[in-house]
Amino acid sequence: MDLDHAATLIHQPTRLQIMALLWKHRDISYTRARDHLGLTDGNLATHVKRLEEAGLLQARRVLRGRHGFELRYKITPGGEQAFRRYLAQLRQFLDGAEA
Amino acid sequence: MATMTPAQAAATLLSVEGYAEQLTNRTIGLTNMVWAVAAASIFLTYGTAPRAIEGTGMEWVYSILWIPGVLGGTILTAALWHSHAVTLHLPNDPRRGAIQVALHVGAFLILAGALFYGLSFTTLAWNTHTIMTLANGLFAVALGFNLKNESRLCSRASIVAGGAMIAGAIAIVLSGLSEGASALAGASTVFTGWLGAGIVSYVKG
Repeated sequence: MDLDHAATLIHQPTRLQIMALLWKHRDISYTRARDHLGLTDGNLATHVKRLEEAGLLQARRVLRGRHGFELRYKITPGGEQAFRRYLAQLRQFLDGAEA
Repeated sequence: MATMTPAQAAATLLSVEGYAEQLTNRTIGLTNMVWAVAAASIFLTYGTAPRAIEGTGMEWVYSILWIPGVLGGTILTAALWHSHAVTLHLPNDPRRGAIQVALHVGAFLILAGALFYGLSFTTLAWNTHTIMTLANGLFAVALGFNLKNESRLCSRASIVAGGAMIAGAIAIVLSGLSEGASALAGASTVFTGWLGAGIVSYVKG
């Protein structure tokens, strides 16, 4: 499967799940992402860092009143575009394989 | 370098909860709408059949009048879920889908049979149409509980619709309508119930 750079980054099981979750929910807390995907803290942090460095998502700390700060992930416009392109390429490839 | 095949990527996407939720909810909604029409058509067929059949010696036809409606519903439902599987690149055998629908129909007929038997001991004047309306309602509630893990929206819609159909069946019995009128009332009740559940699942899904 021939992919561009962003799509190559997304095309990895854990990172694909992270991007799919953000694609669906747009903005999600670190805790929810970790628990939902069944990842360890380190595993999630490693993959998030790579996606953030590529500009596909944004990590930020949000103040939650007395509860302190919460780490949240948000898909960036570039991330949305890259994921949309990735889905189109994947669909094209699967449709071609099934034809 | 790719670390997984495209098929594995598709499966990974589907493993993310809620990713295919919208499509699945809409397919459930459309399925409900199909059965709204199929169920109502069966009621109306039985409601109008006596005029054509009584006294002709063709009373055996009553035993097969339900077949076209059920067949149509089964084929359309299997087609809908096949389309759902193709869109999500899931493996799907249309024949297996049709068998699954047929099993649901079988379960419904068993439920209806049990109701026919059980309600014969009650003092209320249940007829075929009111019993089948009640069966649709109970089936919708059971289906709703079955959908609980798959889609909370569709589950709730089905349970509420089922409750409404059950209430409708009881109301028709208590109103003392004639056979023909209860066929019409039953048709309206099941049509509205299934269609309502279908619209909620489709629009909100």
